[in-house]
Amino acid sequence: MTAFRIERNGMMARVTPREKLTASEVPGLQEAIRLELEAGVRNLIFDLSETAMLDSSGIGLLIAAKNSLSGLQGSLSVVQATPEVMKLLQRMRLVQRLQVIGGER
Amino acid sequence: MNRGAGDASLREARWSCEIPSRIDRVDGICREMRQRLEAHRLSGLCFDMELLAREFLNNAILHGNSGQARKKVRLEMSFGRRWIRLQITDQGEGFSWRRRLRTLPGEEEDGGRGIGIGLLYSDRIRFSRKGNQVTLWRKRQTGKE
Repeated sequence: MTAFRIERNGMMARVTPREKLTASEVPGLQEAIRLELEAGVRNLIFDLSETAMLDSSGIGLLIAAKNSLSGLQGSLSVVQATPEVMKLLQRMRLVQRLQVIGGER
Repeated sequence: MNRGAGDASLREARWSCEIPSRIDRVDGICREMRQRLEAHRLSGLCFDMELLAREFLNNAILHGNSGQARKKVRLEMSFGRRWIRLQITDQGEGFSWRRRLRTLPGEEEDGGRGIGIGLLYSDRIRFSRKGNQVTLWRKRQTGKE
């Protein structure tokens, strides 16, 4: 099973990391996102409903994707974060930067 | 190794292990760590302790040992009456941790948040003089919310 799922719909793609988004998943997902942007995707939604663990490498990927999209007049948002991941994003003061939508499910 | 929570060895007060510098070895350590926390009835700290371990194991592997698999990373976890102590040691040259503590990344920077997470999720953090060993303490009854 791959570490993530990507569903594309026109210029929008929904990325769902499975289980965790940490240093070991980042290189594969980074490449997949690069290909999505090359294919014309400009709005990325990260669905973290299945992501039980996020570390600083995963946070770095989210910020790098956000920076790339900003340069392309695109957008990135994070939805359905699990409670502990939500708390981490809040404590790192990234809720606004990453457009984290909604809180605990 | 998958063992039940009833396994007495999981409740030992001290546990240590050593791995080659490979990121794909971190998951196994984290799994074992969670089993031990659960055996000590500390399930509520699993996310926080795993996050701390991941950050400093990744740093030790990627930066401390520069990803050279022949170099080892050692983790030691001990359970006190009031504290859990986590110590991670690599075989690298260390780094200027004082400078890193002073210069945490801005919100647009996509790297360098590991130490910030260490400060947020531990109650106390100490680096060795050289910087190739970090020790983190976390209270069993935590106020880190």
